[in-house]
Amino acid sequence: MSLEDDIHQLVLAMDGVATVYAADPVWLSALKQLGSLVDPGSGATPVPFVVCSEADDGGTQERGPGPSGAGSLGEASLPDAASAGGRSVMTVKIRIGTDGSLPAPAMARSVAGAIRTLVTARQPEVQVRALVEISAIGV
Amino acid sequence: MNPTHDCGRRIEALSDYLDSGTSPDAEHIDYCPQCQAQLAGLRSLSAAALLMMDDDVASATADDTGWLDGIMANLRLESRAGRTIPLRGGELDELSETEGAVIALVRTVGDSLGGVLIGRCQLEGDVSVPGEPVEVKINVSARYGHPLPELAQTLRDAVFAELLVETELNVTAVHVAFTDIRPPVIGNGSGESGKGRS
Ligand SMILES: [Zn+2]
Repeated sequence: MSLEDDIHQLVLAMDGVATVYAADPVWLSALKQLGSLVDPGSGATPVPFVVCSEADDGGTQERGPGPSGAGSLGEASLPDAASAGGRSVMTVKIRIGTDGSLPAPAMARSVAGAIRTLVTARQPEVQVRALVEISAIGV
Repeated sequence: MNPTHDCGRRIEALSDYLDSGTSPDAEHIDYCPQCQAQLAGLRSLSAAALLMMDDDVASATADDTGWLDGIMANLRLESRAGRTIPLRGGELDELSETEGAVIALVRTVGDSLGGVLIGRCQLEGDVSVPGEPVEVKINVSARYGHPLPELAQTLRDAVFAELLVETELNVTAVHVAFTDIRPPVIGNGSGESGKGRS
Protein backbone atom coordinates (compact mmCIF):
# COMPACT_ATOMS: atom_id res chain seq x y z
CA MET A 1 0.00 0.00 0.00
CA SER A 2 1.16 3.48 -0.76
CA LEU A 3 1.62 6.17 1.83
CA GLU A 4 -1.53 7.82 0.47
CA ASP A 5 -3.54 4.63 0.93
CA ASP A 6 -2.26 4.19 4.47
CA ILE A 7 -3.21 7.74 5.38
CA HIS A 8 -6.62 7.24 3.80
CA GLN A 9 -7.29 4.11 5.85
CA LEU A 10 -5.93 5.65 9.03
CA VAL A 11 -8.19 8.69 8.78
CA LEU A 12 -11.25 6.66 7.77
CA ALA A 13 -10.85 4.58 10.91
CA MET A 14 -10.71 7.57 13.25
CA ASP A 15 -13.58 8.26 15.65
CA GLY A 16 -15.62 11.20 14.43
CA VAL A 17 -14.74 10.79 10.76
CA ALA A 18 -17.71 9.87 8.55
CA THR A 19 -16.14 10.18 5.11
CA VAL A 20 -12.94 10.88 3.28
CA TYR A 21 -13.82 12.69 0.08
CA ALA A 22 -12.00 12.39 -3.19
CA ALA A 23 -9.10 14.80 -3.45
CA ASP A 24 -9.99 18.25 -4.70
CA PRO A 25 -9.24 18.21 -8.44
CA VAL A 26 -7.59 21.59 -7.98
CA TRP A 27 -4.94 20.05 -5.74
CA LEU A 28 -4.12 17.46 -8.37
CA SER A 29 -3.90 19.81 -11.29
CA ALA A 30 -1.65 22.16 -9.32
CA LEU A 31 0.68 19.29 -8.52
CA LYS A 32 0.67 17.97 -12.03
CA GLN A 33 1.92 21.31 -13.18
CA LEU A 34 4.70 21.19 -10.64
CA GLY A 35 5.48 17.58 -11.41
CA SER A 36 5.82 16.98 -7.70
CA LEU A 37 3.39 14.24 -6.76
CA VAL A 38 5.16 11.91 -4.39
CA ASP A 39 3.41 8.84 -5.68
CA PRO A 40 2.15 9.77 -9.09
CA GLY A 41 -0.25 7.55 -10.91
CA SER A 42 0.11 4.37 -8.92
CA GLY A 43 -2.73 3.35 -11.14
CA ALA A 44 -4.58 1.23 -8.63
CA THR A 45 -6.80 4.01 -7.37
CA PRO A 46 -8.72 5.80 -10.08
CA VAL A 47 -9.97 8.28 -7.49
CA PRO A 48 -7.20 9.67 -5.30
CA PHE A 49 -8.24 10.53 -1.76
CA VAL A 50 -5.02 11.76 -0.25
CA VAL A 51 -2.47 13.92 -2.00
CA CYS A 52 1.11 13.93 -0.81
CA SER A 53 3.69 16.23 -2.31
CA GLU A 54 7.11 17.35 -1.36
CA ALA A 55 6.83 20.90 -2.45
CA ASP A 56 5.21 23.87 -0.88
CA ASP A 57 1.97 24.62 -2.68
CA GLY A 58 2.24 28.30 -2.00
CA GLY A 59 3.29 28.86 -5.56
CA THR A 60 6.80 30.04 -4.76
CA GLN A 61 8.44 26.67 -4.93
CA GLU A 62 8.27 25.92 -8.58
CA ARG A 63 11.55 24.25 -8.83
CA GLY A 64 14.15 24.34 -11.53
CA PRO A 65 13.29 23.56 -15.10
CA GLY A 66 10.25 21.60 -13.97
CA PRO A 67 8.48 19.54 -16.61
CA SER A 68 5.47 21.77 -16.35
CA GLY A 69 2.50 19.97 -17.81
CA ALA A 70 4.77 17.84 -19.94
CA GLY A 71 2.93 14.69 -18.96
CA SER A 72 6.00 13.35 -17.21
CA LEU A 73 4.43 12.54 -13.85
CA GLY A 74 6.05 9.15 -13.95
CA GLU A 75 9.48 10.67 -13.68
CA ALA A 76 8.67 12.72 -10.63
CA SER A 77 9.47 10.05 -8.11
CA LEU A 78 12.56 11.75 -6.79
CA PRO A 79 11.41 15.23 -5.99
CA ASP A 80 14.10 17.57 -4.82
CA ALA A 81 12.13 18.46 -1.79
CA ALA A 82 11.28 21.84 -0.51
CA SER A 83 13.22 22.43 2.64
CA ALA A 84 12.62 24.16 5.92
CA GLY A 85 15.66 24.57 8.08
CA GLY A 86 17.40 21.81 6.23
CA ARG A 87 14.53 19.34 6.55
CA SER A 88 12.30 18.60 3.63
CA VAL A 89 8.60 19.30 3.97
CA MET A 90 5.92 16.90 2.88
CA THR A 91 2.50 18.37 2.33
CA VAL A 92 -0.42 16.02 2.88
CA LYS A 93 -3.84 17.12 1.72
CA ILE A 94 -7.14 15.51 2.63
CA ARG A 95 -10.78 16.51 2.93
CA ILE A 96 -13.20 14.85 5.25
CA GLY A 97 -16.75 14.80 6.52
CA THR A 98 -17.35 14.51 10.26
CA ASP A 99 -20.07 12.41 11.87
CA GLY A 100 -21.01 14.91 14.57
CA SER A 101 -19.72 12.90 17.51
CA LEU A 102 -16.76 15.25 17.93
CA PRO A 103 -16.52 18.97 17.14
CA ALA A 104 -15.28 19.64 13.62
CA PRO A 105 -12.38 21.95 14.56
CA ALA A 106 -11.03 19.37 17.01
CA MET A 107 -11.40 16.70 14.35
CA ALA A 108 -9.34 18.72 11.89
CA ARG A 109 -6.58 19.02 14.48
CA SER A 110 -6.59 15.37 15.44
CA VAL A 111 -6.56 14.27 11.80
CA ALA A 112 -3.56 16.52 11.18
CA GLY A 113 -1.86 15.06 14.24
CA ALA A 114 -2.51 11.48 13.17
CA ILE A 115 -1.15 12.15 9.69
CA ARG A 116 1.97 13.73 11.14
CA THR A 117 2.55 10.77 13.43
CA LEU A 118 2.18 8.27 10.61
CA VAL A 119 4.39 10.07 8.12
CA THR A 120 7.06 10.85 10.68
CA ALA A 121 7.23 7.22 11.71
CA ARG A 122 7.92 6.29 8.09
CA GLN A 123 10.13 9.17 7.15
CA PRO A 124 11.66 10.74 10.25
CA GLU A 125 13.66 13.12 8.10
CA VAL A 126 10.70 15.03 6.73
CA GLN A 127 8.58 17.70 8.29
CA VAL A 128 4.88 17.26 7.75
CA ARG A 129 2.50 19.99 6.69
CA ALA A 130 -1.09 18.75 6.94
CA LEU A 131 -3.83 20.44 4.98
CA VAL A 132 -7.16 19.22 6.32
CA GLU A 133 -10.42 20.53 4.96
CA ILE A 134 -13.74 19.81 6.66
CA SER A 135 -16.06 19.53 3.66
CA ALA A 136 -19.13 18.35 5.53
CA ILE A 137 -20.18 18.57 9.17
CA GLY A 138 -22.39 15.87 10.61
CA VAL A 139 -24.85 16.40 13.43
CA MET B 1 -6.45 31.63 -1.58
CA ASN B 2 -10.18 31.12 -1.74
CA PRO B 3 -10.93 29.33 -4.94
CA THR B 4 -14.42 28.01 -5.34
CA HIS B 5 -13.52 24.54 -6.40
CA ASP B 6 -16.84 23.24 -7.55
CA CYS B 7 -17.35 20.15 -9.57
CA GLY B 8 -20.06 21.61 -11.78
CA ARG B 9 -22.42 18.63 -11.73
CA ARG B 10 -26.01 19.58 -12.55
CA ILE B 11 -28.71 19.11 -9.97
CA GLU B 12 -30.84 17.31 -12.55
CA ALA B 13 -28.21 14.62 -12.90
CA LEU B 14 -28.14 14.17 -9.14
CA SER B 15 -31.91 14.02 -9.02
CA ASP B 16 -31.78 11.19 -11.58
CA TYR B 17 -29.19 9.42 -9.45
CA LEU B 18 -31.44 9.79 -6.43
CA ASP B 19 -34.38 8.33 -8.31
CA SER B 20 -32.62 5.49 -10.09
CA GLY B 21 -29.82 4.70 -7.64
CA THR B 22 -27.34 4.44 -10.50
CA SER B 23 -25.29 6.83 -12.55
CA PRO B 24 -22.35 6.56 -14.91
CA ASP B 25 -20.89 9.34 -12.78
CA ALA B 26 -21.36 7.49 -9.47
CA GLU B 27 -17.65 7.27 -8.76
CA HIS B 28 -17.46 11.02 -8.67
CA ILE B 29 -20.78 11.65 -6.93
CA ASP B 30 -20.12 9.20 -4.11
CA TYR B 31 -16.95 10.95 -3.03
CA CYS B 32 -17.68 14.56 -3.89
CA PRO B 33 -18.70 16.81 -0.98
CA GLN B 34 -20.71 19.20 -3.15
CA CYS B 35 -22.64 16.42 -4.86
CA GLN B 36 -23.28 14.76 -1.50
CA ALA B 37 -24.56 18.04 -0.08
CA GLN B 38 -26.91 18.47 -3.00
CA LEU B 39 -28.13 14.90 -2.66
CA ALA B 40 -28.82 15.43 1.04
CA GLY B 41 -30.73 18.59 0.20
CA LEU B 42 -32.74 16.80 -2.46
CA ARG B 43 -33.58 14.00 -0.06
CA SER B 44 -34.88 16.30 2.66
CA LEU B 45 -36.75 18.32 0.06
CA SER B 46 -38.55 15.32 -1.34
CA ALA B 47 -39.40 14.17 2.17
CA ALA B 48 -40.80 17.61 2.92
CA ALA B 49 -42.68 17.71 -0.35
CA LEU B 50 -44.29 14.36 0.41
CA LEU B 51 -45.41 15.63 3.79
CA MET B 52 -46.82 18.73 2.21
CA MET B 53 -48.75 16.71 -0.32
CA ASP B 54 -50.28 14.66 2.44
CA ASP B 55 -51.23 17.74 4.35
CA ASP B 56 -52.38 19.92 1.56
CA VAL B 57 -53.81 17.53 -0.93
CA ALA B 58 -57.32 18.92 -0.49
CA SER B 59 -56.36 22.54 -0.97
CA ALA B 60 -53.33 22.42 -3.20
CA THR B 61 -53.29 24.64 -6.22
CA ALA B 62 -50.45 25.24 -8.60
CA ASP B 63 -49.06 28.29 -6.84
CA ASP B 64 -48.95 26.51 -3.50
CA THR B 65 -45.66 25.01 -4.59
CA GLY B 66 -43.92 28.27 -5.43
CA TRP B 67 -42.02 28.25 -2.17
CA LEU B 68 -40.66 24.80 -3.03
CA ASP B 69 -39.25 26.05 -6.32
CA GLY B 70 -37.50 28.83 -4.47
CA ILE B 71 -35.89 26.40 -2.07
CA MET B 72 -34.81 24.21 -5.00
CA ALA B 73 -33.14 27.16 -6.65
CA ASN B 74 -31.18 27.90 -3.50
CA LEU B 75 -30.01 24.37 -3.09
CA ARG B 76 -27.78 24.49 -6.16
CA LEU B 77 -26.34 27.81 -5.04
CA GLU B 78 -25.62 26.74 -1.50
CA SER B 79 -24.11 23.37 -2.22
CA ARG B 80 -21.03 25.16 -3.47
CA ALA B 81 -17.91 24.77 -1.39
CA GLY B 82 -17.90 28.55 -1.01
CA ARG B 83 -15.25 30.34 0.95
CA THR B 84 -12.53 28.72 3.02
CA ILE B 85 -12.94 29.22 6.75
CA PRO B 86 -9.65 28.77 8.60
CA LEU B 87 -9.37 26.72 11.79
CA ARG B 88 -6.67 26.97 14.44
CA GLY B 89 -3.96 24.38 14.05
CA GLY B 90 -0.28 23.62 14.21
CA GLU B 91 2.19 26.12 12.83
CA LEU B 92 2.87 24.21 9.64
CA ASP B 93 -0.66 22.97 9.11
CA GLU B 94 -3.50 24.52 7.19
CA LEU B 95 -6.85 23.49 8.64
CA SER B 96 -10.18 24.72 7.38
CA GLU B 97 -13.89 24.24 6.99
CA THR B 98 -15.76 25.12 3.83
CA GLU B 99 -18.51 27.70 3.93
CA GLY B 100 -20.70 25.13 2.19
CA ALA B 101 -20.24 22.70 5.08
CA VAL B 102 -21.27 25.35 7.61
CA ILE B 103 -24.33 26.40 5.62
CA ALA B 104 -25.40 22.79 5.22
CA LEU B 105 -25.06 22.41 8.98
CA VAL B 106 -27.34 25.39 9.60
CA ARG B 107 -29.83 23.92 7.17
CA THR B 108 -29.78 20.54 8.91
CA VAL B 109 -30.30 22.14 12.30
CA GLY B 110 -33.29 24.09 11.00
CA ASP B 111 -34.86 21.19 9.17
CA SER B 112 -34.59 19.04 12.28
CA LEU B 113 -36.74 21.42 14.30
CA GLY B 114 -39.94 20.58 12.47
CA GLY B 115 -42.48 23.13 11.34
CA VAL B 116 -39.93 25.06 9.32
CA LEU B 117 -38.15 24.66 6.01
CA ILE B 118 -34.92 26.55 5.58
CA GLY B 119 -34.75 28.66 2.46
CA ARG B 120 -31.78 30.82 1.68
CA CYS B 121 -28.99 30.82 4.23
CA GLN B 122 -25.97 33.13 4.17
CA LEU B 123 -22.91 33.95 6.22
CA GLU B 124 -22.21 37.67 6.15
CA GLY B 125 -18.80 38.97 7.12
CA ASP B 126 -15.25 38.00 6.28
CA VAL B 127 -15.26 34.37 7.31
CA SER B 128 -11.72 33.92 6.02
CA VAL B 129 -10.28 36.07 8.83
CA PRO B 130 -10.35 34.47 12.30
CA GLY B 131 -12.32 36.50 14.84
CA GLU B 132 -14.10 38.71 12.33
CA PRO B 133 -17.75 39.19 13.25
CA VAL B 134 -20.07 37.01 11.20
CA GLU B 135 -23.84 37.27 10.95
CA VAL B 136 -26.01 34.38 9.87
CA LYS B 137 -29.06 35.16 7.77
CA ILE B 138 -31.70 32.51 7.37
CA ASN B 139 -34.90 32.63 5.34
CA VAL B 140 -37.55 30.32 6.63
CA SER B 141 -40.77 28.92 5.30
CA ALA B 142 -43.07 28.12 8.21
CA ARG B 143 -46.41 26.47 8.46
CA TYR B 144 -49.27 28.75 9.40
CA GLY B 145 -50.29 28.13 12.96
CA HIS B 146 -46.81 27.80 14.43
CA PRO B 147 -46.07 30.78 16.70
CA LEU B 148 -43.39 32.61 14.71
CA PRO B 149 -41.50 34.48 17.46
CA GLU B 150 -41.09 31.26 19.40
CA LEU B 151 -40.03 29.40 16.28
CA ALA B 152 -37.48 32.09 15.42
CA GLN B 153 -36.01 32.03 18.92
CA THR B 154 -35.75 28.24 18.95
CA LEU B 155 -34.03 28.30 15.57
CA ARG B 156 -31.64 31.08 16.61
CA ASP B 157 -30.68 29.24 19.79
CA ALA B 158 -30.14 25.95 17.99
CA VAL B 159 -28.02 27.52 15.25
CA PHE B 160 -25.92 29.50 17.74
CA ALA B 161 -25.29 26.42 19.84
CA GLU B 162 -24.30 24.28 16.89
CA LEU B 163 -21.99 26.89 15.33
CA LEU B 164 -20.29 27.40 18.67
CA VAL B 165 -19.35 23.73 18.79
CA GLU B 166 -18.69 23.03 15.12
CA THR B 167 -16.92 26.20 13.99
CA GLU B 168 -14.55 28.84 15.31
CA LEU B 169 -16.57 31.65 13.76
CA ASN B 170 -17.29 34.74 15.81
CA VAL B 171 -21.05 34.63 15.27
CA THR B 172 -22.51 37.92 16.43
CA ALA B 173 -26.09 37.47 15.25
CA VAL B 174 -28.48 34.97 13.74
CA HIS B 175 -31.22 36.67 11.75
CA VAL B 176 -34.34 34.70 10.98
CA ALA B 177 -36.73 36.01 8.34
CA PHE B 178 -40.01 34.31 7.55
CA THR B 179 -40.41 34.55 3.81
CA ASP B 180 -43.27 32.13 3.33
CA ILE B 181 -46.15 31.08 5.50
CA ARG B 182 -47.49 27.84 4.17
CA PRO B 183 -51.18 27.10 4.44
CA PRO B 184 -52.49 25.31 7.50
CA VAL B 185 -53.23 21.64 7.50
CA ILE B 186 -56.72 21.09 6.20
CA GLY B 187 -59.13 19.97 8.86
CA ASN B 188 -57.38 21.59 11.80
CA GLY B 189 -60.26 24.03 12.14
CA SER B 190 -58.35 27.22 11.53
CA GLY B 191 -60.41 28.08 8.48
CA GLU B 192 -57.70 30.36 7.21
CA SER B 193 -56.39 28.36 4.32
CA GLY B 194 -54.43 30.47 1.91
CA LYS B 195 -53.78 33.39 4.14
CA GLY B 196 -50.36 34.92 4.26
CA ARG B 197 -48.86 33.28 1.24
CA SER B 198 -46.41 34.92 -1.15
ZN1 LIG C 1 -19.49 16.69 -7.46
